[in-house]
Amino acid sequence: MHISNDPVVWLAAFITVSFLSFVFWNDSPFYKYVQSAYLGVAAGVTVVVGWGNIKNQVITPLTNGDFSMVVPIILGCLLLIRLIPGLNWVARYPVAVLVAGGAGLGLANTVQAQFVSQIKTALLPLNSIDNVIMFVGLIAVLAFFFLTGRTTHTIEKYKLGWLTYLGRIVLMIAFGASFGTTVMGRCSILIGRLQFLLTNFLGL
Amino acid sequence: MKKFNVFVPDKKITYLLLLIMIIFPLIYPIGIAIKPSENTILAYNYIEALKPGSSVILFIDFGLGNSAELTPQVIACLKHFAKKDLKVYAATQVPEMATALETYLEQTYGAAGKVYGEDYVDLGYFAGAESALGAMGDSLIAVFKTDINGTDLTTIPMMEKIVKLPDINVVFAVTASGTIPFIRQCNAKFGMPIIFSVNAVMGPANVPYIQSGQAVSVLVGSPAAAQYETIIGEPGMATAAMDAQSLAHVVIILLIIWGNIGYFIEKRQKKAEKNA
Repeated sequence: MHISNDPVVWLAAFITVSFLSFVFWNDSPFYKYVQSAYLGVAAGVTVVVGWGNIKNQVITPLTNGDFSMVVPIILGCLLLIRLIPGLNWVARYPVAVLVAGGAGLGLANTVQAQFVSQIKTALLPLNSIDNVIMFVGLIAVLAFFFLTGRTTHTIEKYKLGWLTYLGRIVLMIAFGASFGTTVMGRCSILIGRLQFLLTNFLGL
Repeated sequence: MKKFNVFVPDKKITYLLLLIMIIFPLIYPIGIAIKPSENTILAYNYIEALKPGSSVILFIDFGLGNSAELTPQVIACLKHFAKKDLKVYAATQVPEMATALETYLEQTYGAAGKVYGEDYVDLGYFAGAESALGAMGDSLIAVFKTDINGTDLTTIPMMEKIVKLPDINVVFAVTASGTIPFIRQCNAKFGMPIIFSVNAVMGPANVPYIQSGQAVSVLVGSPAAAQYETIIGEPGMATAAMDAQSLAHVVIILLIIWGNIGYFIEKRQKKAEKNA
């Protein structure tokens, strides 16, 4: 065992153990301290990064004679007018530009990326067990969403209760898979910190 | 005082059990075999098939909170890229990861003796998320202007032939926030091949993109990193963590079964009490 001599590693180890102490001692003084310190550091970093962005993308180009940023600067300033009571309606203009720009940028390729390609992929030839399961699962889940609520009479009329029930089971399997991988992800994060404590800090 | 129920143990006991089962294999590795999954092989084969000198753009889109899960994937893939002599253009849209990105490149391309500016370039942090990605489709230089060191991109040799995003051969997006912007701006718009590396939470929702042909492959969580390390023959952080990961899963599965047994026993007891 070769415990690290690096003060940064000691600090990181202290913060890690203090955060993990929450599991066994809830709001311990160490946990409270590192929690506050973390929030403070995060806020500080955000301010520095924000200033860096303004400096690199606004001030530097302006001082170099590039005035293409003038309109975005004006729109940015208009956003802050929201803070003045009675003039907050002015902020709607930059918000409108932001929303319209985002929607235009996203929508242009959304249809292809999230609808056409996915629907095409769902149209599978039923020549393997995998494809049959996919097809039946898809129909069952669609039935679950379409044939619930006000359409209860349709289910009763055509005796489709089994299909919506199957859809619910398929959804539960999908949620279960998501939950399983979420647990895996959380374990990875814990393992990462313990690896750090055991190898970088304790030198095991 | 709360009545002790063996099927509902104190959460501290479960956490302690989990900690022991994770720490033990980290100190005394068991060596559970790692078998590469189909998706990992897909990504590996795609990179293997690229000609030396092909270009890859690496997007780091995760924060330090996801570093334990995604850093091993980045390192393993960069090592493979270096072996294949691929040109790497690296950028991040998470400010705190700019320093980490420098470290990744130094540990892989730097350690492999690659030349900065000729074999790899660190474009640093970019703001604007999807709109910036969209703008890269017209000009990379207009978005980044300089590299991480403040060097004008027009003076960097690697940028001579690469003007815009579609000039690059492959997108390697390591993300914990969403794959959709990359699919919309790189694949749907330009038909660029994308290899995703995502955290475990995002895995099930994004794997269908392989089947639809919108992604070459999706590497999910630290198991994919361990598998990639195994394929390229360079065991690293993820491989070392796999024993612990497997034992932790066993503990969690046993706890779920234990909890369910308790649930059904309690249900039966309540029913019996009601009938009595």
